[in-house]
Amino acid sequence: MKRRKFIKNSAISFLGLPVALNGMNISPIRQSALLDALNPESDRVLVLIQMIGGNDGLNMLVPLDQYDNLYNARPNVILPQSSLENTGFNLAFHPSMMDMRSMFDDAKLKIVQNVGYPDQNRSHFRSTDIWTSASPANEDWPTGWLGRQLTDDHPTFPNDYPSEDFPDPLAIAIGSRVSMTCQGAVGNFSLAMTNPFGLGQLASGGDDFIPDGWYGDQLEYVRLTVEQTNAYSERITLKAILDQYTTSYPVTTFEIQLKLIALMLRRHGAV
Amino acid sequence: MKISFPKATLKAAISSSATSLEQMATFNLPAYSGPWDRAAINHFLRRTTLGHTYADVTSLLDLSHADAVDLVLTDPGMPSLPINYDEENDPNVPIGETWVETPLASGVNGGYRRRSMQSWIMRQAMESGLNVKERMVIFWHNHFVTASIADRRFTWEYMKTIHQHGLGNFKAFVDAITIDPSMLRYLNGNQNTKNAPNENYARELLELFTIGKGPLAGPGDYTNYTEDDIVAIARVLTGWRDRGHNSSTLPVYIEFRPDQHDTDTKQLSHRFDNQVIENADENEYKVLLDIIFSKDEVARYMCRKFYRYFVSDQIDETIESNVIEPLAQIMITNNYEIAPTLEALFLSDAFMKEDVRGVLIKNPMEFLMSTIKSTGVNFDQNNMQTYHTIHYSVFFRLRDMQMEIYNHDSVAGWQAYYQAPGFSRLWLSAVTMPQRQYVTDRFTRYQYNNSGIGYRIYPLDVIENLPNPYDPNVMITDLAELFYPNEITENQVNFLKSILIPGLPDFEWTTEYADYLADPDNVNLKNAVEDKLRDLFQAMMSLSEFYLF
Repeated sequence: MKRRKFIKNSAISFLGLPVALNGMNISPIRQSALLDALNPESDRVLVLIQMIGGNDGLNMLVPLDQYDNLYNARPNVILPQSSLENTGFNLAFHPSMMDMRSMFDDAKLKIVQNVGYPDQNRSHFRSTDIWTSASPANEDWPTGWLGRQLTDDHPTFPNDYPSEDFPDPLAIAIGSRVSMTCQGAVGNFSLAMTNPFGLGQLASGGDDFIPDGWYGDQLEYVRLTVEQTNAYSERITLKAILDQYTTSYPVTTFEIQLKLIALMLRRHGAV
Repeated sequence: MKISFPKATLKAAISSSATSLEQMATFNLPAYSGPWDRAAINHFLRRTTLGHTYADVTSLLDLSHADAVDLVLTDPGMPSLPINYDEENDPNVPIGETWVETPLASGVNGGYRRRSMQSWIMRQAMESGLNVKERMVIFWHNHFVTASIADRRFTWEYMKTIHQHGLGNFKAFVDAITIDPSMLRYLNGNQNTKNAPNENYARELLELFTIGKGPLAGPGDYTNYTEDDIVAIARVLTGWRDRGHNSSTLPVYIEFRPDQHDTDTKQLSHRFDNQVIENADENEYKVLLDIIFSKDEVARYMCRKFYRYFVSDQIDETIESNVIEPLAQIMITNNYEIAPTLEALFLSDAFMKEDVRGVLIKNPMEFLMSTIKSTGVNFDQNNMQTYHTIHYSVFFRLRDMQMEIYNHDSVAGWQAYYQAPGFSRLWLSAVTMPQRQYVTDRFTRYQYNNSGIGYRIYPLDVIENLPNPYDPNVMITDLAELFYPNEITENQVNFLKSILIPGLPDFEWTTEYADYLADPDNVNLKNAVEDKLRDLFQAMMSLSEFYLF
């Protein structure tokens, strides 16, 4: 971990802090110049949805060449072949996935079947670990597959982030925890948030010299989390406020989460 | 009714530290030989109790380190029972009485039992004093996870098991939890029968509760056990089930059904020396536990968990061989007794040394309790219902900081205790940081309000117990010693002083405080100094140092 950041930061903090400590939020609007600098043409956003729980894959995407076997094995759940949405590739979608089928026909949807790993041990934790780390089945990797990519792209993170070039979080996890997929060798690249409208400023202050050793590393981590939460929350809150509701969204938790993603993306011109 | 806040007793229990020190010498776990000063005592109390005051540290200066270890390890025994404090419509449980063994009459809303349990867990934490027991209750709740049990009588039985064994014998604990009614439901032991064995409990018994998973040594072979062992052990455990869940007439009990038990011989793998378990009906699981506990790896696995919880979440090869291994040998020598194992740990240099002070991020319970208890807040009320309601409402601060008791996300417990490499860092996120600040802001700045009931920090009471509250520099340094794991810098002291008396010379504080003490009934004088102190306390609890312990 670098120490110079904190020498630099402490000077800034001592100037800025009493304001925050008196309970006054820094106005987000003064950041609008930053927003003007965004280039919507260059924005690429990857959205990953991790669904937790069970999914009947053979009923979601029915292998038509196995239809008779499936019918014999589970006559009580299988749907009549005529009701299925045939893709033309010996596979058919469940009828409730008609919209997905159109996306598939337009080559906007890809499907990877039969994912798993050899010699399954039925431990959910192990499956999740492999899912997030993309490690071979017989190895344990402490980093996430996206975290490794981000480590390559941003080797100094979290020091000096956010920066002028990267004012936004590199990844956002909708929920209260950072995503293990975004775990890098040093830190986690994702910012956890449940609601971009609900972010406020955290007080910090009195930041000074960081001692060496593990205590110093932990202290540095807490200070960085405060700083990043504040720095990113200004931009995210601003984006969320500027967005207009143009679509009516349903109200399950999952759909609300999708809405939050959509609202943040729209500002970037990505959807 | 007036419920008093128990004061810590300094009567040390029968000293067992002499035996521990001998064992530590035998197994080469060096004892702490540094100074037993305020810094050491603060560290000791931060890691062994749920919150302490400046006066507590002063009182421990009169004890030796060994006597202090005996003090915190004194088992306070079984806690008082949770009671019905707000439901008027249960004909079988009047307000003020306990419900723990009474079935819920049909038609009665059982929500009061949930509130009662949630209030109760906070009450135990608040009243725990200079004792490790409540920290162990949280540890064990996170070790033997059960959740989502609708009938709160089950939750009580489970908490009773944890309290009975939390400082007792670990093997007896595993025995009890294996047939605990909540556990039989949570990990489906109640569906585990000879014709349809369910492996859930068998898997977690090995992977999470006793021996832990070693490196993958081959297909289905985790060094300490194999997939075939899980299959065999599930069969050993067939036949048990809980009764009475959600019943309006039945008590909660467990039963062993011989006709549902697999009576065939079970063969364990080479990882358990190819041992064979013959049918022993309801005693068969005890035979199994004898076999599991014959493996030293159980002690190593548990000592790693103790180390992560009490010392640091970083375990390298040096820690493994210099701390975990000797501590595991001490645990084995003491036949898996928990208290002597913790005693050796708390006496050790590894636990006390300066390198590990402040290296853990507080979990939400530790954060909440250090906020409340180091400042002497108590929830004493003249009204019984108000007293319980306050504790109930504080429970939700824990939930919002992502540490809900009785509602873990998974059987592996809170991520902060197992997920490498972040461990305790995982408590902090852009979601939980504002929640933590909300807690300290409310308690310091505002009247923390619950349905018109206010409670908050009274900083004048806190500084009254400091040696020199007249000098702002000394006062801030003494408070820093209480709030932070390590010394803060002169710059930080000056920064905090600028919050207390912005732009004013030191003597202004001395004068204002003396004026107040000379005329304590003068509301204007009192408010002037108290408001300044509230600003100071709020700022001190917002510093990143306060998040570490």
